[in-house]
Amino acid sequence: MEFLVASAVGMMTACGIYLILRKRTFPVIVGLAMLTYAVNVFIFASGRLTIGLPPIITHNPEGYTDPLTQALVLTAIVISFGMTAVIVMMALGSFLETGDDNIGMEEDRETPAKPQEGAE
Amino acid sequence: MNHWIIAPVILPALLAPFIVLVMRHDLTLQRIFSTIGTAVLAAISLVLLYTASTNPPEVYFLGNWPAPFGIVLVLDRLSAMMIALTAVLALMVQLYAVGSNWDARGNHFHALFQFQLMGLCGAFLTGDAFNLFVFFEVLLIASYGLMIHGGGAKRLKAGVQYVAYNLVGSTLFLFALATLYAVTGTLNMADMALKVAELPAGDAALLRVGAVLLLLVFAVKAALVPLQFWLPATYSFAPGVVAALFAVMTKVGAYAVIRVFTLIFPPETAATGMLFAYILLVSALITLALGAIGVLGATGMARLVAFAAIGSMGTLFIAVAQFTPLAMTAALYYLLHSTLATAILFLVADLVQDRRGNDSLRIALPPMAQHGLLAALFFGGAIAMAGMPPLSGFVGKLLVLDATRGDAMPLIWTTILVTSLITIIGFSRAGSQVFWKAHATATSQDRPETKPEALAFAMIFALLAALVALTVMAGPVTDWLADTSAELFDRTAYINAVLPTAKE
Amino acid sequence: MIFDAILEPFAHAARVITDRLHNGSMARYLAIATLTILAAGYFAYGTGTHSPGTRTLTPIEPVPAVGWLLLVGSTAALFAYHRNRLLALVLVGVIGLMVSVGFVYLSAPDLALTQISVEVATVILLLLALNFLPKQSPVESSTGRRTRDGLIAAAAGIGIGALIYALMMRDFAFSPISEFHLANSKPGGGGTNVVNVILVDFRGYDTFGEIIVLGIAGLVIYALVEALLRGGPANDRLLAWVPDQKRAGDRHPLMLVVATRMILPIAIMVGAYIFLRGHNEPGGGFIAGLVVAIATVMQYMASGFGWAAARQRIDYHALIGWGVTIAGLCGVGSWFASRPFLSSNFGYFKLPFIEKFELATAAIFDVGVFLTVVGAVMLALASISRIAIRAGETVNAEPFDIQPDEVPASKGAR
Repeated sequence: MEFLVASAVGMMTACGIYLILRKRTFPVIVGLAMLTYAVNVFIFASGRLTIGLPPIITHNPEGYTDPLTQALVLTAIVISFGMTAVIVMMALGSFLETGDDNIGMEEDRETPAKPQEGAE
Repeated sequence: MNHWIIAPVILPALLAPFIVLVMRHDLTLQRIFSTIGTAVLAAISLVLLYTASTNPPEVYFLGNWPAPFGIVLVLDRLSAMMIALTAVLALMVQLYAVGSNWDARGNHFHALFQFQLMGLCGAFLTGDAFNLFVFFEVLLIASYGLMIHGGGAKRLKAGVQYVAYNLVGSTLFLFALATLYAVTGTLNMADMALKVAELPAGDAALLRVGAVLLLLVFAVKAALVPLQFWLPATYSFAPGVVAALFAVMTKVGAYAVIRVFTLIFPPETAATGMLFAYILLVSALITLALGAIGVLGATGMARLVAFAAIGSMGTLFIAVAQFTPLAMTAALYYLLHSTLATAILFLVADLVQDRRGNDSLRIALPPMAQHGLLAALFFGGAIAMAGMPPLSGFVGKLLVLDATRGDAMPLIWTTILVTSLITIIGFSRAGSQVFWKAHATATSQDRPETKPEALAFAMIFALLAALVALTVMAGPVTDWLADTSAELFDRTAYINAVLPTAKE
Repeated sequence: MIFDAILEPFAHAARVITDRLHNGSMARYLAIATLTILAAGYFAYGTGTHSPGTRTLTPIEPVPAVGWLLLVGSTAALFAYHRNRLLALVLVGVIGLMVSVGFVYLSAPDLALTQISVEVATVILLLLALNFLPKQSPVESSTGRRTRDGLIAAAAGIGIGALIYALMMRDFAFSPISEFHLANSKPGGGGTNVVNVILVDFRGYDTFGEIIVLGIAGLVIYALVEALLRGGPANDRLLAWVPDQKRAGDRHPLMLVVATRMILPIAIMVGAYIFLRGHNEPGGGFIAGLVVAIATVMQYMASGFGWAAARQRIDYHALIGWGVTIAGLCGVGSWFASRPFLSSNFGYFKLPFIEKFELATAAIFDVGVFLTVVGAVMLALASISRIAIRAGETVNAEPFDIQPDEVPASKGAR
């Protein structure tokens, strides 16, 4: 089982890294989501694997799985959900403002003027 | 138990939703409440600073659970100093935002500002590694909101890059934390310090991996080469007032490195040794050089300041990487100085930007309102930033040079001196382009009528006054900082406070 | 002037160096970051002493192996077909589902519930955003670059996979702090679901930070959409927006409308149930909040924004504000018992007709979590709806395109 989990984490990481190296915002966001999955399983697995021993106190003589890493993963899932929501909306906003969904700013470097939109 | 320790987190955390709930549509009320809140925060932080300088580290056990099982907050001299620095800077930046009307250019400025302060204070106070991650995320997501405050195509695009880069950083943070937990079985930093010291030799390699990943996470925040790429675009496209507040954000990275790599992985640790010191030193030297070259080659004023900020992180980390009490004192002094100096320069750049519509350094533009005043403020900030006498940058660089020991000494001296020269040239070229050449080109043109934003100017003067105070008081300040770095390197007090039962 | 003339070549060189390095290419920045991380990690590992772990492997059973195949298969498919963005989302959904099934199998029911509900909310959000984005990613990178990226990605995957394998194969050198959590969950925290007790009690401060992150996310998205719609290129582009795909004839399919409305009360009940049992069984405020939010979002999706918005008067800002305030005040409340922030208390009570039950102050904290989650998710999704309305999506006051209960005459008159 350990091998399956480790290879799945590795596979998801690789896929995530490949996607964040693309040039458009959408694949980058999908890549970040994949990295999030990978890291969630990674944290979970860092508490070691156990099968069929949920951390619900039932006077189970066999013991329980590590509850702490599960709590950490829950926190991480929620935080990354908030982050994903923000970056999705920012990417959408950037697409609507500029008309393209490139994540790079290669053409913007030469113009140092800061945007002053919003000035009353 | 001293409940004031948690006040810097709770106060903004309750004020921000109050602003959202009660005064969402009334900017005047928001300004009043938010400014009062920040002023109270600054007052509390000064009280805490006093407490921390007279007492040993104090611990706050959240939820009344004993360490290391619950989360603890620790108030020691370093965390008290960082909070005071943040609160004082925030108060001035916030008044500047009110004075320059920046807060009216988008929604929720004040709520996000308070949440940002909450995240910063939480990160400085926590004694738990995972909680540090949580507060990093709080301060980051608030900074994403502030970064794109006011909107605009390029700002949004730079914002997407900033968020994406930092999300990779956050993922790395989790990989690092999980690795450290899997090896040591704890998340409390003081407990981790004890476990790391007793770790079986066979676990050393994995521990090193976890620790080095953690170092890189903080290096992203601190903009150390080669992880600095997010900074120039972010800082130069962010609203000026936000960029000034962000002057303290890179210092979060510096704080975290100082905290974690003196407490958990000090240089005498068998498993890790001087590994981090070497990595940091090499990276810091390149960072300083890159910052100086960036200052000389910058095409816009905000970008110039952004590279100056990168360079200052280089100088700071050259001192940190020595991992000696003397050098740490210099690093802390330089940290205080560079935060204030960076903020001044971003605010001046913002005023120039506001008057001219852009901050280009390549074309000569007509003079602007309050031209002479702005020029004086710019040169004040530039003198400090470049490390010329008589301001605190000079004192800071002298302290760093003086604290340097070992084989790398000639290299460090050369780098610091040469980059100082390049930075001075860069700043003077930029200043003459923006302020002196302006007179030559616009003789007949009428001066634009802009009302001076008295409050905004007053705040830049206040920041400059703080720099002068830092220079004049250099003696007492460095004495205080010497005690602070002594406390950092003598970990016993910190560990005993968190784990009363443990002995070291 | 002489000063300038001497320095100009240097300044020019500096500009070229700086701009070449910081050329705005995100892909390159991230590639450099990944390589740095890999190199530093490998160096740190290679220069340390390592002894392999001694734990015995847990057995591989056929069903998990099938799940693994699905997971790895979809990940590989995502590599190959990520340009078709809709398909990419479907694959992400499959991967997320397999991850949560894996969590169930590996003794983490709470994680599975959260993962699946977050998954649904994320995919809905991405789908709504994709409505406005291009549906395909063009081929822009040369084969060489793609190969290079693939090699970097493979190295990162192997590195992370090897790291977690090495970690899983060894025992903790010291007894982990979670043993205290297991031992004290019931006597000290008053709950048998240790994960939930950690979240609301042992590490409630983390959760406090976490809901603030969500609340801020809601505020940031709101402020962003306000800025977009205030006028400017984004607004113009939206006003001139032409859908790039064919629209369905019936915007509010009868089946979906009826089903979602029947689901709503059930979903709210399920949410309440999940909320209440959270302290002792898998569940809790966060999952309950997501279930309720998703059920509400489905009303918007099925019956239209206008119809749904007219039928609820809750201000999402207020939900976020109250959620964070309640959670914060719940923590402050313990000061009055002269105990630290977020100290919880619990007691057992007996009311007529029902069994003895437990009340914990942690439940108030969980209410704050619940409200913030609902508020943040709804504020985010409502913000996308505002973009859609600006883009010319008409808002209908009626849920159906055909009104079954209307008399034909009046229909003709309209």
